[in-house]
Amino acid sequence: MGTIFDNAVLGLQVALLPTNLMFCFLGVFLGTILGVIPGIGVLVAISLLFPITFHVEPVAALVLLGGIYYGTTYGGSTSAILLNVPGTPSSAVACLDGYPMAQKGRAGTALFMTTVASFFGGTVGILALMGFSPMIAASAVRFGSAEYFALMVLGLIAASSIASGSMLKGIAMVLIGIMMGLVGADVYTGTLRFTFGHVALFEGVSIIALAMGIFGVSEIIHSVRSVKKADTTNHDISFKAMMPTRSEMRASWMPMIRGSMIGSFFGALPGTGGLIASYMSYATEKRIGKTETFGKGAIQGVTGPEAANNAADQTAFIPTLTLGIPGSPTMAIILGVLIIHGIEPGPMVVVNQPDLFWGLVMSFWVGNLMLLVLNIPMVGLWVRLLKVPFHLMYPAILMFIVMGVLTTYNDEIQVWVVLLTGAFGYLLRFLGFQAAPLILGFVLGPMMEEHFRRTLLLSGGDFTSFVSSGISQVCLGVSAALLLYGLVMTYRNRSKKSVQGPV
Amino acid sequence: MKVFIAALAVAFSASFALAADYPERTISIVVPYSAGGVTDAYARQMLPKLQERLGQTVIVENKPGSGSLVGAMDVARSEPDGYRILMTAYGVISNEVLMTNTPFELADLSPVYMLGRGSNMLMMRPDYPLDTIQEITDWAKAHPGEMKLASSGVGASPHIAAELWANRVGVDFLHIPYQGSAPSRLDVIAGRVDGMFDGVSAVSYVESGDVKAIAIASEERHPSLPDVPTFKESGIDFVFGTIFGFYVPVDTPQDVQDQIFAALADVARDPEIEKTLVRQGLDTTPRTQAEFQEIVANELAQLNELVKLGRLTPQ
Repeated sequence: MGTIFDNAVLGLQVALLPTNLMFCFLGVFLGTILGVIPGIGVLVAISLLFPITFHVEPVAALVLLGGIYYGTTYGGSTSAILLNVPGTPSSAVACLDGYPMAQKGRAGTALFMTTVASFFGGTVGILALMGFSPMIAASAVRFGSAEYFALMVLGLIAASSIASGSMLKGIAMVLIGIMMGLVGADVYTGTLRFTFGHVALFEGVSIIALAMGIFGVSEIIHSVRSVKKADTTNHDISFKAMMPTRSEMRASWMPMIRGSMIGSFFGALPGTGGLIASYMSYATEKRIGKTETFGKGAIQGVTGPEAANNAADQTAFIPTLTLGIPGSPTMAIILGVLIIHGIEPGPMVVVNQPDLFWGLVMSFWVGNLMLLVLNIPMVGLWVRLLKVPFHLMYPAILMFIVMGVLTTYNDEIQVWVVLLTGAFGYLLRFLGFQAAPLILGFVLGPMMEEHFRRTLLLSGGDFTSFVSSGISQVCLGVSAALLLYGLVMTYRNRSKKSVQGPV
Repeated sequence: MKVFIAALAVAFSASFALAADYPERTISIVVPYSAGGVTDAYARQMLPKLQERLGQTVIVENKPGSGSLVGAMDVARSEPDGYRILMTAYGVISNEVLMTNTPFELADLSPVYMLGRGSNMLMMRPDYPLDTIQEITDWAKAHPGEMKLASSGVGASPHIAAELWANRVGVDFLHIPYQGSAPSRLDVIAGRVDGMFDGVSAVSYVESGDVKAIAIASEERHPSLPDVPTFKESGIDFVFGTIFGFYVPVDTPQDVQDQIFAALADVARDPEIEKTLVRQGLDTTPRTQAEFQEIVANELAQLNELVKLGRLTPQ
């Protein structure tokens, strides 16, 4: 343990340098502003601000990007709670119970608890990053294609049970997501699938365009239709109103601890990360807690996923920094900054550049502390930002969304993807389907296919290789149990209804 | 009529001015990969010196998509005036052969300046029982289709390298493609595949003992890996690596191309920039435009041969 302490001291010496402190503040502040604005997510924010980093020292550049990264995630939850518009796919979970809380007049508490849960999850994630870095990296090596496949099956089954209401509708959404995910070049042969000859579709439908469309644009259409009740931004966010009740505090502790653990684990796995972690945490809390309050403003539904999300944001750096494997597009960009500054990410970074590694880690913690200290007094500012009248706000958001997509891709066809999926998302909403499982299916579907086929390729077509390791057995077993449980519940509800029907 | 003559005069003077006064406005370097990649990093690193040398603003535009196809197409269709320059890695060459069904031809571009050439090395999992390229080749010959070689993707340079090597020594292997080099490296480290032809950027994994480097496909040994023999030393005439280069639309006036070549050549010889490129494992031997064009033509011929032999399948 002594070495961890030494490393923390070394890291703090770097993180507390005035320049690094300033860049940390700048990143957190810019990130939160951009995150609060709906439609601007982590990826867009980082893509917009990433050229700045070419002019500063590597550590400062990474500190800045790190600040933007978790500042945006934090800000994304703010708009998710207040407007039901997640700035990022991973803060979509905050909508599920955060927005109902806001509608009940508990917005202040929801925002306060989000901040506390973020800080808590972030701290746990950083401790995991420091202490378990070598261990988690080693367990990531133990994940082969078969294990990834099993884990993704579990993620998708868990995701479809999040859909409030019918599990069947959730599975339907996952399947549509998988289908959309299959557009583009086949990993194994390069064959183009479902591109209809459009070059822009060769690499598939863009996740940013899809997420912005299906969450952002469809929300705007929805809000325009129901503009009469647009008064929801009139929240009481005085310090008194932010204070949670004792029972809310009590209800939040365990979800925060569980969420942090789930988040730390999924963040460290390449290819998963905050999105899956927050859904897993939500699904866990929904299974453990009293189901009837979920979706109607349960505090556990806010604090658990929020802690998970932020813990995952931190541990996502483990594979990126120690193995050079980015778990997400955001991490891929951060990896790029390292390479530009002549740092070869990989097992050698921790050994050869301890000041960089530990300085970065400790600056994450300083950044989380800044978020906590800054945002409790500044929640009012963010709320005021959202108080801009909707007839001005929504066209502006739409503009930001289009701008964001254009700056990311330099390609107008992606704007059309946003608008079309936006219309589609509104239709889904109208019919009572949830978009969240669709996004997850979209992300995980192609990865599942890749790992499914690789497992068979490596084993020479032997299907038992899917259940040859303990990790796969547990994941697939739990998935089967969840699926069975969901189907039984659906059947029971239906037979109950048909009994009550004629009465 | 007057208007027509005036327009003609303007058009004429414009095309005249183009050659003499190039460059007179902002130049875009189009990188067909996303910001943060290796190619993007090289382009951005050259940016300040290039602006100084050309006396104009130079910007990098990232146009990622379809393994460099989107960006390459963008430049191929732009005005041939030297204000849109493509900077790309190997993809633009392999796509020409592997992705035939696209509205883009490599012939629409003129290779101007070759920044450098990487080299691929064969690295095997740490517990792989054989240590020399000769033993490995013999084993692969005796066990056709059994050696599992990973790559960062179909048509990516590790894949092409493996096929070229296999073709040269006459063996068959099982190709396991991944999405990007990082996940494929991890499975080599974890021992799920036997090995892969990776770029020299994987040096740190060799140093840390996570993988074993067997042989390198370059003319000479790499300074960071003095113990790793070249294929040539082992009697296999095999040199291969990705090619970083600049391309302009084919109809760009030759004197503009010459000016671009001169500017790029100056900037690339800057000691600081050259140092970085060499550290990344690039062979930065100066080459003329004609040499670069010949190299591209040779690569195409080599790839087409693989297609003819059925080792690569175009889409």
